[in-house]
Amino acid sequence: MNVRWIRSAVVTAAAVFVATSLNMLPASAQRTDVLIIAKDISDIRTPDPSKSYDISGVFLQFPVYSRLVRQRAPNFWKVDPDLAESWSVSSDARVYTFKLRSDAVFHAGNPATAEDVRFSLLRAKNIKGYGSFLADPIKSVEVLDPRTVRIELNDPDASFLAALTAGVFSIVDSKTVKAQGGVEAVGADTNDKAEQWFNTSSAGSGPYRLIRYTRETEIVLERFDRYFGPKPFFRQIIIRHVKDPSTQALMVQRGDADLALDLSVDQAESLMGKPGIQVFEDPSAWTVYLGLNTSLAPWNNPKVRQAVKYAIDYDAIVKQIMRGHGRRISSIMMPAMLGFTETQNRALLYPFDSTKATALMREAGVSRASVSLTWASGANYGALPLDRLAQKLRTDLEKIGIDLRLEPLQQSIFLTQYRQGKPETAIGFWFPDFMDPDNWSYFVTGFINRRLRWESPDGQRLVEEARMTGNAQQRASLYAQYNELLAAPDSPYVFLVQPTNLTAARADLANFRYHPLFFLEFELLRRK
Amino acid sequence: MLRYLLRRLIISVPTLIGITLITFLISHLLPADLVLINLGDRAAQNPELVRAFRERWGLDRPLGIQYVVYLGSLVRGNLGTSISTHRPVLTELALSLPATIELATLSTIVAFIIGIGLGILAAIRRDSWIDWLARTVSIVGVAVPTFWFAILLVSIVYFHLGWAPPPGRLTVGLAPPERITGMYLVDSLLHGRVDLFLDALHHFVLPVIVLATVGVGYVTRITRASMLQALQQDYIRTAQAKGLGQLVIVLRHALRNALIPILTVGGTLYAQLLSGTVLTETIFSWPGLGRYAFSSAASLDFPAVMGVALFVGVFYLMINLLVDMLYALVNPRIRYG
Repeated sequence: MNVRWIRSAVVTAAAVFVATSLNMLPASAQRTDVLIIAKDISDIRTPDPSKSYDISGVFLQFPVYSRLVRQRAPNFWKVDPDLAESWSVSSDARVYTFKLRSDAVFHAGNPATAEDVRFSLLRAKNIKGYGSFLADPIKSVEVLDPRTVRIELNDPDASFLAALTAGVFSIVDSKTVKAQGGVEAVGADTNDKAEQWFNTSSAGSGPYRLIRYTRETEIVLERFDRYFGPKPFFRQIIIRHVKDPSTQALMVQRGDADLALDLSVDQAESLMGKPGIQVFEDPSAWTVYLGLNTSLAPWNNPKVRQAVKYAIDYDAIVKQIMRGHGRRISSIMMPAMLGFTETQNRALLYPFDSTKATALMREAGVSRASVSLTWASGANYGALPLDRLAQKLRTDLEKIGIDLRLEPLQQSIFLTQYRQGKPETAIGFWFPDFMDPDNWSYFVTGFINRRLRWESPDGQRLVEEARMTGNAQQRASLYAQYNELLAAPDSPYVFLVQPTNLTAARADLANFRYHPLFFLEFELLRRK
Repeated sequence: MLRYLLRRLIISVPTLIGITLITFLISHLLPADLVLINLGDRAAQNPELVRAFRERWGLDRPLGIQYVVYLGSLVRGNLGTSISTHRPVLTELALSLPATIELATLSTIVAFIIGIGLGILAAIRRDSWIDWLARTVSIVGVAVPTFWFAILLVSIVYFHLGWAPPPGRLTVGLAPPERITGMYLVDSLLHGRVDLFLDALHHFVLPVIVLATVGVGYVTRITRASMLQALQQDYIRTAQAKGLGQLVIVLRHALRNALIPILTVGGTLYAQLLSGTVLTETIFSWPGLGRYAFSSAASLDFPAVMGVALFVGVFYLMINLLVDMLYALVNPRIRYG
């Protein structure tokens, strides 16, 4: 072996390495009709729409499948037609009849019919997937003619129309899915064999077809030219799995991605005002509260619960921890929704008043107390980082003599313990399945309130009545009373904030519409 | 030799059973509710769904029976079904393993070439600038936190200089080569797709630098120490007295004798990288075994977690065995029988 030969080999290898590095830069300039989204998609369990219930699963389904009805931003409370062009609801809110549009076809070319609706809704119910509980109210689905379908519920339920906008009620092409082993009858949980087929194909009638889905890698969608709605601008949409939010931010800045969706508040702040970047801020569906377990001291004393509501510097949470990207709330619902007006939200807020808080503590006869606070450590709810919130709560409550011992828990363990009602104090949240006030009613029905050992028969009566009432005005008044009850001084909930959702995009993207539950309307997005 | 091999394989069976038992116990004794985490808060309210779920995953049976059933299907080569994705764990592992094997192998090779080269140079030019460099590299390589180094590289080399592609295994939108082994470098060549090969290779640069840096640290240090010892032996003086060339003395006489500890360190390093590197895979969006293990553990998908543990166990056993075989090859005085 010759030393000179080794040296020249090393130099050549280095040159090749550098050359490949320099020449292979991604060409981001020429992708006018291709949209690249950087997002963490690791939570997708299954791409089968009738089984899926995870947040990123929605991302995969919404552009691919249509549902009977839909909701769109900015007025995301209103139920609009999708596959159904019209519908009627019986006066007791128990029977729903839908008339389908005649021009909808599935990706395989089959027309979308009432039979497909029947198949899809029953498959969602009987397959016993993660989201099947949403289909529990369905008693029967009947095909009246090829374009008319009638859904009967077990009990009156005024929230069902809004529930039909959820991903689990995506309408699939029954011919195609049956051919792949899909079953809708009772027993589908063991007999249905179609799930794996959805990894590589789609059976929807939405504006995009699924071309490829690879776990923790990417989702590739292609425009479906026979979509019944307006023709989408982008020919292809690629959702690239990028776990690390700071990398997402770098990719948008360099133009390797058009949208970054999981930014923390600090990253979004650092991107604001950067050339070539726009940051969108939209309301999120997260509402965050502090839960006080009323079975133990000091929270068993209603005066102490009241004192806490005056002891927290809420504005500092919004301004400092969320850097202004969110707002205070006085009940669990999203302000401006049916039954919770902006005016009511403002009226029910507790002022930050430490003198009053201290006085209430004195009245309660409690001068010092020590209690633990648990939360899902490391989690972010929209623009709200929980770890920093916990620190802030500790500081504030220390001033009235309550020592909050911080006990962060891994997310799964926190969920389990909170469900078992173990935490003494917990940072809780609500995130709905669909946009109807009924979905926010669990704070008196026993689902959440029992974790804090608190009952409210009055509240329970209110929300039950509201669910069975078809009249929107009556419902609004009942939910307003429910919110007032939740905000009462002795309730175990200290309502904190509704964070916003921050999205960074390249400056040439237009028509960005964000729905707090169903995210982006891909078919509307375009380049300027 | 064959008898030795057989004996080693038999001894490894109890080790593997031990691994499954411990993983099984840990994943079932966690203070987190498997049903709740997998079904979700609201579905877990529905007794019908909960019952179906427990029945489907055998959770309605006593723990001991569950374990025996698991072992039974393991013997038949069935690693069970993932709770999250409803796919066989073996299929899932086959999806994430190639990405890790490729990355680990490439990183180990790079670490070996640079580490041994630097270690030899440092030993023959002791106390020179190159020795100083080698010692610095080995300290930095071992001490630098991987995730920090990875983020730094992404930020400088990708973001500021634009010399590397963004994280991922291929450029966004490029379809991966049709699957033969699942390793993009191998499959692209087998299909004759040089463009895909170069693109994939390009995406390896940063993660390989990160993982190889740790390896270089260890290999340089051990090579230098081991070579220094070998170079002081009498047979080296004899070789020099015979008038042999420097290169021959260093490579054939000193290095070969110094190789045993290097192989030991290298084997451990390779096994470590093969068992997945969660942080590096996270930052480089690399869908490998580390990411799979992490996501599965976070969602309490215990069949998947046990599958990973079993594979990692097999890796370690296999690599240890391989290293032992290499000892005999490198040093003829070592014989197994």
